Amino acid sequence: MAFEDWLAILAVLFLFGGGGLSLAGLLTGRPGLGHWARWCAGSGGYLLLLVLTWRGLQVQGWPLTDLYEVLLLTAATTALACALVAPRRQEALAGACAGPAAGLMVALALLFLPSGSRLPHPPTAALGSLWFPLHVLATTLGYGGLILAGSAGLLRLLPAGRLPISPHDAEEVAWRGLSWGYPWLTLGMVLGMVWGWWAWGRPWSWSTKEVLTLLTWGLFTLAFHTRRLKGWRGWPHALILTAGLAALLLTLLAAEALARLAVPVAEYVF
Amino acid sequence: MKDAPPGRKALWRRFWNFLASRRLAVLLLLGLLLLTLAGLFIPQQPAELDAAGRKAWQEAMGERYGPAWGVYQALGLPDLFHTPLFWALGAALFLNLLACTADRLGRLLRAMRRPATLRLPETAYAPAGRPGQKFSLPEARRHLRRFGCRLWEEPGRPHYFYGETPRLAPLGTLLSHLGLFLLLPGLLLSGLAWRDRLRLDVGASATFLPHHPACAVAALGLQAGEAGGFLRSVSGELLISEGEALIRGRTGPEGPLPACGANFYLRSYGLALQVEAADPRGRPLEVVPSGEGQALSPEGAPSKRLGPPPSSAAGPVVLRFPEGTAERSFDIPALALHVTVAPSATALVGFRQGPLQVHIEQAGLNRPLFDGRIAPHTTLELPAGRLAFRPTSFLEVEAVYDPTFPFLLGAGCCLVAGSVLSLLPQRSFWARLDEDGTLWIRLGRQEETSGGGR
Repeated sequence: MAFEDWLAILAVLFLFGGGGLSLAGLLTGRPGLGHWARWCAGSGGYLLLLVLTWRGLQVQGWPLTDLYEVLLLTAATTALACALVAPRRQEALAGACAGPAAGLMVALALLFLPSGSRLPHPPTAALGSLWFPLHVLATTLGYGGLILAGSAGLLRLLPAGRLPISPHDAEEVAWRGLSWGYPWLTLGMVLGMVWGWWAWGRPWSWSTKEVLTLLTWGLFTLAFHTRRLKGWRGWPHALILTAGLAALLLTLLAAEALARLAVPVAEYVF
Repeated sequence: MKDAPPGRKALWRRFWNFLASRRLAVLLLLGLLLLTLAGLFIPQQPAELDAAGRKAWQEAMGERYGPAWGVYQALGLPDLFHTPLFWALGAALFLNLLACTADRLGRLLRAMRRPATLRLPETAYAPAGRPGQKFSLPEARRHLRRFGCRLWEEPGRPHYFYGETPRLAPLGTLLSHLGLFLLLPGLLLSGLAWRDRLRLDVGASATFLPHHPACAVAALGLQAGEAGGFLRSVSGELLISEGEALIRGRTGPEGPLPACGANFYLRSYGLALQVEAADPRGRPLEVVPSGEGQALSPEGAPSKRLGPPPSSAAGPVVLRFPEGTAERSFDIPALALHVTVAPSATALVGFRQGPLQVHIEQAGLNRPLFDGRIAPHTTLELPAGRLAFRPTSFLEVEAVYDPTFPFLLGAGCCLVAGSVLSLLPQRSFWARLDEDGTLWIRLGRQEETSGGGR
């Protein structure tokens, strides 16, 4: 096993550790544990950034070319969103959302992606434009915040009494995640459009990935508008956030499978 | 509306409130998202196919989905993003946005100039500073400016303050809506856009653009950079003439070549193998390629044939190897030969001229006449003649004129700026300085700084 794989496993331990500490903090009512959970999840995120830097140095290029690297970066940005934007009062709840989500993403990538596809390789000629890494970077920063928001929405939907979580706290964490992730996702889409125009003259082509991204963006736009709208506050808003999370995970993990199912519209050249 | 009867006025007001409501926006957005979700699971017709390509695609889908495909087609679902329902919902959302913006514009601009209220009820405030601390007016201002907010004041006894940050926050909604409005002129201008795709052999004569006949394009070369066995960069060199002007430049994934009022993009490239057959006295023989123009593009639709028609006269022919083509064959009728050529994998991706695997069969012989690897630029001497291979490259270039992109970019920038401004954490406070120097303060919650909407 390569050095970077060990680092990734260590990151998974930190991320799950952060999630566990957060849950313990919530269940025992000890807010101090939330601080350690934030520290733990943040360390996991930094470790993943280290793995990506290591891979980038190996191939002397941006380490953002395949699903494995995008998953690592998304897990890192989720952990960092938790560490950076969660309010101090709700840091245990934010850790309980972000830690397991990010840890699970890296663990699944390590377990299920073939080891051959995890080997670092330089970006292909088609991804040589500078707009591409900028697009991936902004989009994954957005994903980080939105995964936090969606997970908080999912926790908000749990029946009262299952976990000692106040609905207000869950909504506050979701709002912070949305406020952080939504502008980044919008910027990521704009940069993707510029990349498409610059590389092959098509800012938008209705490919499966693009339609899924539009769906994700639309659902979070909806969440943004329903947050304080009478009749949509509370669980309907949380349901939209959860649907946004599902669309985001589909975009990240299942776009290619869906494209094969529905015949892709996009032309992949080079 | 001044003279309208009260009933009609009330009706109009109700209609306007409904049209400008956030609730309607949410419902329309939800409808559009549900349609988009359906579009993910029902195959959507590729936009760039010509009539023959569309027919082939529909036949392929008919075979794949059986009778259900007929139902999909009757409902217009294979082109869902262009159905009247999708456009109607989009247009309704646009109208709603317009009404929403018009309805809130005055209020938002007023809020930027001056807050709705500087005074709160006496009981809303709590003491500021240390217990018993007294402030003069300049001291109170200095104290309140530590919050980093823009400060409004209402002089008097007592003196009222209001602070808010970020001061441009009300602009966020307007900017986001402006971004969406900018999509409309983009959409209207999209009818002026055109695309011409050309397949150019390196070193061959120039081809004129169908949409811009004064413009001719020739391919001068293909440069591919390799590092550690990976293709790291690729670019095509073009020579473009427009009237008297000559433009020479590169196009590739790192950027297009602007010329003739359009951008030239490198869409694809590959190996082009020039084949020349001759009899023992050196007279050229006819070479008939098989399967010219039958290669399938990655999405399974037949690619548009853009090169010259297959040559039937004696002389060299060019065999192109587009993406996904591993081998090509051709016949030399005069010698009763059938030849199959398979280039090396590296030669196919364009960055190394590897060997060619050649297999030659002659009618009447029960074993191959030749089966082996040859170096590029080789001439094979055969019992009844000779066969020369000259590898070069072909480029598939697309000239694009699309006036919509600046509007799309402007829309995107407005959306980003608008969402940043709208979602920046907002802070606000109200303060009161009594005559005796006591300072009172009330920190605002987000609900108090922006309206919840209807």
